Amino acid sequence: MKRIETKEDYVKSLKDQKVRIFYNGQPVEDRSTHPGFVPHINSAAKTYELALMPEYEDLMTAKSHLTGKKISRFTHIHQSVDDLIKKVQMLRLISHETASCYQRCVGFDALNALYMTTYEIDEKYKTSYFKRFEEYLKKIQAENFMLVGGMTDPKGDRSKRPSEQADPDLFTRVVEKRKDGVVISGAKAHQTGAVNSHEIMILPTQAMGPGDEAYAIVAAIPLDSPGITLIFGRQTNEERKVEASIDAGNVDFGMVGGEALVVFENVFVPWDRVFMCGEVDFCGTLVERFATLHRQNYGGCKGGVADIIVGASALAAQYQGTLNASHVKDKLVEMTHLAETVYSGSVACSAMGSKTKSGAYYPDPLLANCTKHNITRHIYEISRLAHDVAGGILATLPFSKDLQSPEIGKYVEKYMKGVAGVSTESRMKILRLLENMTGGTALVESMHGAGSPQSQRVMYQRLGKLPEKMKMAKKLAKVAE
Amino acid sequence: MDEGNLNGAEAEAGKVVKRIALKYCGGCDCTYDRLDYAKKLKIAAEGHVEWVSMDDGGFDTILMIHGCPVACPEEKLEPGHPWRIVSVIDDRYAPEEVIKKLLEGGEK
Repeated sequence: MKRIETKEDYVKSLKDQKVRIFYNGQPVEDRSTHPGFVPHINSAAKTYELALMPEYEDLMTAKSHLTGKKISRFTHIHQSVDDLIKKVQMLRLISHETASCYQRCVGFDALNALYMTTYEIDEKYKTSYFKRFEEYLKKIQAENFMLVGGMTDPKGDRSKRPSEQADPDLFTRVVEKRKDGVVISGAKAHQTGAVNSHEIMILPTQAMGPGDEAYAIVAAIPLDSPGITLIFGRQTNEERKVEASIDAGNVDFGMVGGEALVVFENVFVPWDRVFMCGEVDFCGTLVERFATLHRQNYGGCKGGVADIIVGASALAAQYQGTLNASHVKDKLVEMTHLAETVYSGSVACSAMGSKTKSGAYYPDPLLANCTKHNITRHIYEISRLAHDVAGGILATLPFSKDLQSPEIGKYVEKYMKGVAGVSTESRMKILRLLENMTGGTALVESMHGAGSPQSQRVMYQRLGKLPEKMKMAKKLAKVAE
Repeated sequence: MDEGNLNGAEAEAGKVVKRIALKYCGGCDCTYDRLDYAKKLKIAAEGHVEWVSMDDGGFDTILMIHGCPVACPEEKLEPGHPWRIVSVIDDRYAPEEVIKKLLEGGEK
């Protein structure tokens, strides 16, 4: 593939690569212009656009440790604690530009988790996954294409292991091993950015044991491979994207990452694109690393999104004359506190990162899990406060077409007006932005993206050093037994 | 702007007197508008500075425009680097003063 540098390159590449996608029951002819996808394309395109701007390149680009060339940070392997911190700073920056998800972090985290883990698989089994993966890494660094991080399997009956499911495809699996490669069937759910990406890196979804070998598969697969079908997930108020009016709220960048179900039906993958095949004892390590790297992000991206919610809430209050009320100021202060708290978690887990055997750096896993767990609470609280500050009008605002109506527009103009000097339309735009960012799909993403809260609590049990804490307490209390 | 504060006759003649690298921090959470301030600096330096990037080479001075006092890129420069650095961490200083400092040399 020709290297993608600009937004135009990126959009053209999406048009050129023909991927089988369904939206609302209909096949999509041109994914690069579909109104349901354009906002997500615009968000991802920001990662390309900002990388070309001198005022952002310090965060958006990095020097490849493999080739020495300047590359997108989204294809970089973290070489230091500074790289880990820059990742978080970069995410906050892009969120300020999009107020939405720009999707590339998932593939980025998959690359880093695989770099560390393939090195260790080879060390134990004398396989050649790491060398193979380095070649793939050189390719993505050179071509700068967009990679989906494909972890989550549908999972069917959660009480059963992959090999115990009634339908074996409920976890993505190898159905056939050939001399030249493997054949894959199954599906990956909630795949962020899938409809506007070029390839997917499938990863095991959980720790596995003996008997699950067919499910211990890692492979990079072009999304136009025969047998792949994408089904786009319905979002809250998605019909407003088609209207392209101010009712969409975040008109240019939409909401969350444009998630899709990716179905694999006997998809062939050559061996040079396979980076794990049957090594069940490394599935847990790989999943934990991917999860940690992904949970590290959330104080950066959601912290940046929260900055916009705080700003929009303040504007909503200003436009209705309540900004100087003490309780409103106090709520904005609380929202700021919560936003900076989640950001500090991401910075902290990065600052406490360490070097793995492969040479790549890895965030502190306990702190990264705390960061994501705070997101499942604080973004809800920030959104609750935004609703409180904005008032009930957030839920009862007329359509933008009512404002434009020759017959009734004068009523909307008159009765939706706030303070002097601010138009009714401006007030409606800010309220719609807040509505877009603080409810429905946007909130659920904060709860379950990068893993549900329970998955973080499981990590606390494992990493929380409870016996050490009990020992410290006994020492202070002078308890000998 | 008082051109007498720049480099004498060369400045007055509008000749480029110095090649300076302009380096921005990544801009994660700026406390002021860096681009607006940089534009003012460029206007103040018009005719006296050839602005280049750090990749271009051929300069001995870098103007670093940071969005906050953390000043990340300056922190990351190797010790003993050969360049003279002028750092901006906010927009309090008059652009003419910053340019004067860039052109006159001296401590950062």
